[in-house]
Amino acid sequence: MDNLRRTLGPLGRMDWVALICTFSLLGIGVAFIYSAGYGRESTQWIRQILFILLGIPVYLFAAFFDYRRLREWAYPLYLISLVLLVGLYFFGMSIHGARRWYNIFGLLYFQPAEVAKLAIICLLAMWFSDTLRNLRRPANVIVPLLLTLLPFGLIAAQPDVGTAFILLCIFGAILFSAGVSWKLLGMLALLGVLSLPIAWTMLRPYHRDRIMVYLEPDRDPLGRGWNRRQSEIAIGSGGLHGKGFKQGTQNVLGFLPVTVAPTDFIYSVIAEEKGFIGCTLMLTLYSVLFVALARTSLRSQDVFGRLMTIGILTMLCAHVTINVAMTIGLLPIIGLPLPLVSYGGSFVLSMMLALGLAQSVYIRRS
Amino acid sequence: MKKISGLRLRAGLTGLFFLTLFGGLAARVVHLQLGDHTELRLTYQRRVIHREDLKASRGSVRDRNGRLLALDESRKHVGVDPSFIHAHNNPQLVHAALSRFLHVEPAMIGARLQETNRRFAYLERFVEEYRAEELDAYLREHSLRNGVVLETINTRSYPHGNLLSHVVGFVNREDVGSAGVEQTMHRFLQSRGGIRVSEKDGRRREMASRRSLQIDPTDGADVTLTVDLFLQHGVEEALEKALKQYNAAGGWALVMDVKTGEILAMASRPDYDPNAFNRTPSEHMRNRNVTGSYEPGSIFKGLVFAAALNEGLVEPTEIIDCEYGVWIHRNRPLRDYHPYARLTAEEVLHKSSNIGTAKIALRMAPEMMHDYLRKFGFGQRTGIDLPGEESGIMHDPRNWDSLTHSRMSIGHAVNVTAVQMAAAMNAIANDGVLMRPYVVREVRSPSGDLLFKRHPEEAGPPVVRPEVAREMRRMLAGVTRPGGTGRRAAIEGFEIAGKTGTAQKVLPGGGYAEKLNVASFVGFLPAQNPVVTILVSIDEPQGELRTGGSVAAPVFKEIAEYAIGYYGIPPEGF
Repeated sequence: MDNLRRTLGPLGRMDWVALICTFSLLGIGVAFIYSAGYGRESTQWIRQILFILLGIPVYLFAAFFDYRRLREWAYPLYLISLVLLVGLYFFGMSIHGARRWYNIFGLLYFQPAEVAKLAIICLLAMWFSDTLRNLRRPANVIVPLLLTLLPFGLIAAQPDVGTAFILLCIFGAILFSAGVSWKLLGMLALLGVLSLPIAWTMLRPYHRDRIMVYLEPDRDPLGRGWNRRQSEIAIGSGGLHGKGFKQGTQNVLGFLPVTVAPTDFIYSVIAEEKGFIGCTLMLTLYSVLFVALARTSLRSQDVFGRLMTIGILTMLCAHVTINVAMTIGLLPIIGLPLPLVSYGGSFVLSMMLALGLAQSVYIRRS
Repeated sequence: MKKISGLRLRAGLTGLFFLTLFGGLAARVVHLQLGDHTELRLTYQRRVIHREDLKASRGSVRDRNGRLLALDESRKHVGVDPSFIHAHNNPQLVHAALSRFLHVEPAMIGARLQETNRRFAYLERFVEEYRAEELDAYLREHSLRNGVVLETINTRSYPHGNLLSHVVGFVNREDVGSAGVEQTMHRFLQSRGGIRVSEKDGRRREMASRRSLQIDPTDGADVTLTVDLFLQHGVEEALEKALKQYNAAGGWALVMDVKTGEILAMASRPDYDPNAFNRTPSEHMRNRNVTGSYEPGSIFKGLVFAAALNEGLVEPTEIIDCEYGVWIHRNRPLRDYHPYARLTAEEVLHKSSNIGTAKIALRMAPEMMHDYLRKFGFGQRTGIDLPGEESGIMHDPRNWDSLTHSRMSIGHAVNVTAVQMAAAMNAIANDGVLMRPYVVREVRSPSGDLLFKRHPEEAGPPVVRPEVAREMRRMLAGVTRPGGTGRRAAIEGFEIAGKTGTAQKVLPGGGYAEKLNVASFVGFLPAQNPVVTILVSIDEPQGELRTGGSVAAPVFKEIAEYAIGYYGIPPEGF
């Protein structure tokens, strides 16, 4: 065994559990993107495979790259992401009224918010892992908050409230894990609650509609409540075993809009076709992946690695939780994809990069 | 070291927090996916299940040569979705296009299109297929098709309108044959609708791959009649002409094939257009050849004569005393139209003497005469395959009064239908054998298989001996010769056998009307080798001359000439 480890080198020290979960989820994703596009001769599943193939070297590179060198890259990375976010206003491509993407030669819709999430993780991990900083000083907490709020504002204005919200989650989780005093945490939480009414006024009308629909599900079942209602019908009619692969009528018959079935609502497709058993399997894979990431965090040889892994875990977990919660009617629809499973090129690449970095932390564990 | 472990605790807590969140999520997933979702499933089924009635065509009705008399035609209901057109189409251009092709007021179309809160409104129903197609092509070409609805429906069509309408009949709004052959042959003609149970997609399109049940519809069978449309046309024309000339209330005529009993033509007035049956008074729908029984008058005499001849109770050449026009029989006078002193028995027929006929008839016992008339088919339905046939009225001898015997012999105190009368006369033409009349020749399935074939049917044993029938034909031919009452039916080069009749109509309260009568002629040709039997009755002709000889005989002649030309009957006898 040791021989094998030595032969494999750093590869031998990889977190195989995380690796297997990651690629299983990617595989499930491809299968149901295929199913969601079935009958429309959609080629999205082929594109997804191409991005995964592109993502494998990215994943391996990140794993072998020494994550500690990211401390030096944190500020440049942050600046680059800010530039990209601002650049959207000039060069970005608008889809359904949201300016979130760069169109790269028509090959790839690149979403700079993905970079921003990783950049914030690195920046906050670096900031809070600096042992010289006195975290009892409010300024040392307020500065990273402001650094987070800057891309948060830019992303929320695209508008992409879901992704922006993820940034706040990442900030909160890293802040907490960094050991900031309970008192300070409480004050920040209070601040957050107080800012809610302001946030409400800043929401777009359709966001408010969605929240109202959430609070009153039968308010407008044919209009604003359509996606949510169809999603619930899909999941509820799937039952224990589901209707079978490619047999999901809600999806195939076009009740679930084709624009969202392979992306934000892929969970509904899986729930309808594979039922409770299929969904449980998928959520178990996520759970195992999260536990593996938590283990990576705990075994990290330094605080930077730990906080970075916490950030990655938070990002993934928030995505999954919010996505599943909104498709099953627990949260308002805010349009977040399911990591590794949903269709989307830059999203797949950034998730594989993040999980590769977590591998890097694990390989260099203490 | 303590601080580090504190931080590790924090990191662990963060992980735990998310796992707890995830657990909560799982609980909701379990609830949603394993709970009772009857309501959700029903919602899903209601929207996805697709049930569709599959329509088939009712069988067609054709004449003996295959000419279409009744068929199912595809039509279109044209409607609009005003709300949709207002939102997604150009109402002005759609209005212009619809006005151009539809036969409705443009203002009405405009008004319908203005009702923008409605999702559907009919503009014109039963639009012909060609016009709907032109409209459709025009709308597509100009990208105006959205929001215009074309609904395909099957509708019964009678291309010849009034022609033969009483025989063909019509189909009511529920697709049930309600008159004529459409009614009697409904079981064959009717189509059997199919059903399709399937699923539909989000755009309500049925998906062929998800059909769970399909029962194919079956088209109805095609009925072929014995009627010949050409001859029918001639009959209706001749009848119509006489009706106009004598300003008559009605009339009926039929042509029967002597050997088979097939009805070759059958017309009744007043008539109607089956395409517009719902705007027709029901009186016009009556086929008076089968439903209207009437006192036949003198056309009846030939049959009574044949009975006496068959019994050897009369000799054609014997002299009958015709009492100078008035004979007091059982205290009541019996009159002749023209007074005669003496006539041979044969001349009694030629001149249609009431007194002579009654005297011959009285030589038979009442039971004997009644029995012969029964055998000729009176007092019972002929069994013709048309709805509503009446049996007529012929009382049993036990119920006869003192005058019934003599009056019945001249065609009164007895009610007959035209088809009975023609069939009875046809028996004389057919060597004494009564043929059962019929109008349906055969029925074939849509694929051409023979489902039903009508064969000529003798209604009973011969009524009179063949030589008696032959003798009767010879004598009846005299009716149309100079001096006979039916000379206006004569056709040069042909011997026409027949009998005139002028029956005064019975008033509703009893007694006979002074001026209302039915003028009839029934006969066959050629006299000694008959091909067709023809009956003509004109109801309530107006004018000075209202007798069968002057009103009905010319119509008979016209029809006979049609038949001669059409069947190529060769001249004979001269």
